[in-house]
Amino acid sequence: MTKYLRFMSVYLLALTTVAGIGLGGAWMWLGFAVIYSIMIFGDEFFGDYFGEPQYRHTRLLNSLLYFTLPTLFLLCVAMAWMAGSGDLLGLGAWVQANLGVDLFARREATSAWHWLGGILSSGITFAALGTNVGHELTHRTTDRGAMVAGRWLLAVTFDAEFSIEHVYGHHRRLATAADPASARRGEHFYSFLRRSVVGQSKSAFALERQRLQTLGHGTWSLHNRYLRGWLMSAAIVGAFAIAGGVTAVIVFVLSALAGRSVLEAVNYFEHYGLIREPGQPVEPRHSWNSNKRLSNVVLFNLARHSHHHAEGDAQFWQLRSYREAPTLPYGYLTCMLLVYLVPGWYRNRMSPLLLEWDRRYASAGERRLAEAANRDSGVPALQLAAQGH
Amino acid sequence: MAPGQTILQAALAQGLPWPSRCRVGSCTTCRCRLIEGDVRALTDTSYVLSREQLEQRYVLACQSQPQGHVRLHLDRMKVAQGANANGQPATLAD
Repeated sequence: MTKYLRFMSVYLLALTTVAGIGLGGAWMWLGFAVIYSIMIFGDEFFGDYFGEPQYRHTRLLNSLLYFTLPTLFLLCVAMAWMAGSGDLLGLGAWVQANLGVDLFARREATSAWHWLGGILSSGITFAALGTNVGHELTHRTTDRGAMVAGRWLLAVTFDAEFSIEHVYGHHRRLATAADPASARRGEHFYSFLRRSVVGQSKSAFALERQRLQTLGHGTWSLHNRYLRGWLMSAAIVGAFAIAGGVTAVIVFVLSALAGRSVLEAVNYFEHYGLIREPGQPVEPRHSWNSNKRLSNVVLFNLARHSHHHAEGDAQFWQLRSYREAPTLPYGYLTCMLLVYLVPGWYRNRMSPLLLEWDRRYASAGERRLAEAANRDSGVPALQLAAQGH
Repeated sequence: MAPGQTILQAALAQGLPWPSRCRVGSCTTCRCRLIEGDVRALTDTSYVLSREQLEQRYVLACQSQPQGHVRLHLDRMKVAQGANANGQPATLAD
């Protein structure tokens, strides 16, 4: 049973965020502090898990994905209440009567500094529940219900268009120069962030326009899923405006952007510097893999990324460990924090791993491309290796 | 072939070397042309096939469930798929 229950752990982390925001004041930092510290120390402490258990109750695993919707709704209600001024849904009165906690006083005692913690907590929670599960669900292009739920989860971070670009763009162009979501050798995280956000959005729009032309529909119509995605996000912003006014909108938008930046940090380290010849099949070597136990349990096996890209139709519980694939040096949240705080250091940290990749994994064609990429990378360790050839 | 199987799954189960890569309807490696019969498309192939290809009845083997007997053309190989859900083996032609 534990092999099923372990995938519920992300909900415990998410609920610390909800509780922290609901309690206000310095508690707003709770989710952020708990999530990062548990994940970073936990991945070091619990290490790797290479198991590939068989699951019979796949409906149970499936339903675990859909609890993200009510959980995110709960988080949004807590945010809107704390940022608003009235008593949204009568929650303040209810809590005071039943739990004896004066939320009104707590709201009064919440400063902008506290809200910074709230935004960082919500951002990582939006990404872990919204983006990650939205990703899993929108891969199920054959399942209409999964697509609708997944696109709403992604719309929370202004990224419903991810459902178009990721499947028909990123998975096809992976680790080539044409892919905005694959980080190039030597590329700094904050340059990648800009290129990836703009590039993916352009690509999603182009793919959608192409599809509408193929079907004989106009670009500017409600058939357009790119535009519909932005309408979904606008509806969420509108709901925040009604529920909590301007402050609620500001808090939500900043949290959504924080969540979106988490996705880009993950995009960055999942394929940083890896190279594939266009037209050649996507292999496990074209992703940085991780079998860190906690990262995989909390993120529904997202870290088993080599298998995910080599076989895009595999469900999260089917993903295999591929322990021979190129492996990230740390767990997911550790990599993320390093990419955010010391992007130059992370880039250098990856150089020996990339050189090993060139020797051990690359095909002859990829090795040629890698040599040129090393030369142009601007990273001394890589340039030195290129000169040696 | 078994009920609910896609053309690609049936072909691979028969040991046919049908070209495929992503199996999620995005890379178009398994693309083939429908000569006879009908298929149920699991995904929206309009992201990956052109208007001309759709008019010529191209489908993606990995995203198509045959509705009864179908005949398909796959680049250099002609494959006739034996009918559908009653467990009959697929037959090869050419």
